[in-house]
Amino acid sequence: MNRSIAILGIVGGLLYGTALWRLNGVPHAGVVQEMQVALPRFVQVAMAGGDRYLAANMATWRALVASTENMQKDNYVIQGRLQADAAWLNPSHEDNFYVAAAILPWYGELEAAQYVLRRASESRPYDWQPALYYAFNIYHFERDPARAAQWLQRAAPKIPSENDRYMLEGIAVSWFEKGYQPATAVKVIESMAATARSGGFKKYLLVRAERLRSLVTLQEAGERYRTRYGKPIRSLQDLVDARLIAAIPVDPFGFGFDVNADGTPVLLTTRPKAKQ
Amino acid sequence: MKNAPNGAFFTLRTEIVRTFFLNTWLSGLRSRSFQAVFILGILLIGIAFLAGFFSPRQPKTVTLDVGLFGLRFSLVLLCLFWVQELVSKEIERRTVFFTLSYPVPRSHYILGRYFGILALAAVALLIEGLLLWLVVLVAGGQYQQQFMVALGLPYWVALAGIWVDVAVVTAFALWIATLSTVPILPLALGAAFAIGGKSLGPVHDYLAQGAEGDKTLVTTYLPALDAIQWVLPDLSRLDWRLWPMYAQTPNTGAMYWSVVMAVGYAALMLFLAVRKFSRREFS
Repeated sequence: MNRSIAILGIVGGLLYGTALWRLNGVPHAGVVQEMQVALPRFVQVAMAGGDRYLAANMATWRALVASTENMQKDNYVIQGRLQADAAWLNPSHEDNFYVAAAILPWYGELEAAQYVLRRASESRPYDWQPALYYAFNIYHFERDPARAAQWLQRAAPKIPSENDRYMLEGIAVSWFEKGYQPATAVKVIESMAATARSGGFKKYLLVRAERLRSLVTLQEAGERYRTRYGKPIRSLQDLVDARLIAAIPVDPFGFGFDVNADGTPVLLTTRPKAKQ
Repeated sequence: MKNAPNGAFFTLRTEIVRTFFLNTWLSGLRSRSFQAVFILGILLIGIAFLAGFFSPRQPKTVTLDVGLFGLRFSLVLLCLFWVQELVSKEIERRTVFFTLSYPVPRSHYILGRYFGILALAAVALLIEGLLLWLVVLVAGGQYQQQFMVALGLPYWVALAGIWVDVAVVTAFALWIATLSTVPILPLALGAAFAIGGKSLGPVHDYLAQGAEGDKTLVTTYLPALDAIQWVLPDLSRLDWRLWPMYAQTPNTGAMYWSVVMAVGYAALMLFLAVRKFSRREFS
């Protein structure tokens, strides 16, 4: 008996040691753990002990703690799904619509962001922010200032505070009059950072605003280049060579900037792959 | 053993119920599970306070939200433990014989236990509720969130909703205790009932709103869920926390009917419990 147990122990130890040695050479999957799965809504509710509001909190926490530095397109799809679920479970959740507005549309999840913001706007009639961010997404991502302004004007009468109503109507008028202006995006992100509580998310928003400022600088320089030479830039280095900017700005996220097919500077939303 | 004067099933003698009520009260306070779960409730309020740190915009709201979950969770557990200790274990250890040997209706034993547990739950809720109230006040530190939580009447109404919810779960667990021969059963089934009843509303909403386009899911489960509502009450209707959290005043008509539903269901469970306990043969 004792001999059998000793053999069992030795075999177990050998198996464990061999497996450990083999696994040490295998890298972990390079995806963000928090954003691998989105469970069905009723499973999320069951996992929260039947409490839909706790389930909404849990989904929002997952979105908040996920590190965007290592996220790929698939992870943002999951985050969009998760935040849409949170908005369904508790449409009034302020953090959820706020994080959704700050992240999702910027990484290709415009539809999910608009769902979250529409739900928040309907369930928070006293709050002008979901309506503003919803309209801003139409303005900035769909490049449709007139429709964005109309949406703001529709939302404004629902806001109880007279000051907030005037402010939204003022923004709507400016969008109608001036059309699309890239610097507006910087102002929106800066205002989001200004009202956030001190902490990681506030810092994240401030860095985002800095990136956008750099982008606006590059886009304005790109326009000047087009006016001066009658053609678009092919790379950001063209702007430096034409002495329109001193140097290509450094992206604090490390993703960098690029030039699209139209010759317009754009933000990269994922870390560029290392050159072989 | 079947010695209780069953003829007194519908004749309420309040002094006897009061005796069982006071006995329940004292035994409940002395029980170790009460102390353990009460500490758990306080720990959950601590977790709620920490949860507030995750929130960039509404730390007080998140603290309140998670705290109300903690309150319900600990209160449901407390009541289930009390049912287990004060009814199920008395039956298992046969100490219930001493009580039933007096010429008192068995129904009064059940009613006394039920109202005793509800009174204990009310006191536990009040203490934990006051603690959560203080924790929400300090949550978030210096940060002034734009839309404040309402800690006046809406908060206490939300707590009352939790108490009514717990009263339904306790009545169900009490019924299970009267027919079960295993003391763990009221705890296990009561917990499943509390989770199931609370999930019913969101799951029904999910299916009724089209289940994100999954027609098979809707056609298969929605009729079943409609039927289940006749057996399992929708406890999510007693959750009025949107009022203190987001100043969304609940529909008073829906609140009224939710309380009527809860009282009706609890009365039905008590009736079944009393009926079963009065007819139960103890050997």
